[in-house]
Amino acid sequence: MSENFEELYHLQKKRVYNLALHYVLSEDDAADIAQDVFIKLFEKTHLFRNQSETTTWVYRITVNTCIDFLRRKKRHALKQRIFLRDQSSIVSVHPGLELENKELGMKIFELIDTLPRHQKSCFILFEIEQLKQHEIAAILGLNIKAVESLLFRARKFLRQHLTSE
Amino acid sequence: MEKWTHSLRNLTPQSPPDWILERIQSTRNASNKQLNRLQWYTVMGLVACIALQVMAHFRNTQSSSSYHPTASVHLYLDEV
Repeated sequence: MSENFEELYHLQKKRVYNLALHYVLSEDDAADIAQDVFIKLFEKTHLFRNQSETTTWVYRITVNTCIDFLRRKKRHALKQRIFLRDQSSIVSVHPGLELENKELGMKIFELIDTLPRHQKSCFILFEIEQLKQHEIAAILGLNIKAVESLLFRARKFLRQHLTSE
Repeated sequence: MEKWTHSLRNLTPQSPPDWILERIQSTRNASNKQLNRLQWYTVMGLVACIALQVMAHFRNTQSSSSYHPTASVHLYLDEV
């Protein structure tokens, strides 16, 4: 394995793993996603020219891998419900939540999970990863206006549901 | 700052497990081995094709010499 790749891995491992955790809320699943992301990145290492470009790529590949993973997981859960009549649901808790915010945090992540795909990505990248709107636009391949609008809708949805309770 | 924004921005960063890099390395090695095997089979296939072509060429030249067009002329002249 090349030194470049190992360097890339150590620079980006926390970013990839934590972003995957925000999406899937499970340490095992996040580790599997991180593995997939780095295998994809390994095949594309030669394409990266500079650090900012690499970070955008890392975010983009991680977001897409998480979305694919959740899509497969939902399909699998649906099959289980239909064929095995398994109605149980596992409540996932983000391991990074502080104790005093645990209950509220769990509620927020439950609501984030119900957001449409792009709204969810924009919200996670802006509110949790604290990226700028133009960076999110570059990662998701959208324009800044679209990112603004997606963030506005996501925030509105969360505010409505959190204040109504 | 709203309370929910605060709770999201103060998540404790988690460290990924160490086995990720090891697993990536073993996956990469396995796929490299597969690639090497594929390359080896391709080369062997090409060599076999070339050998078959060469054999076919020699067989053609040998068989065409037994039916050489001048052979019948020689036979005819002998009879005359």
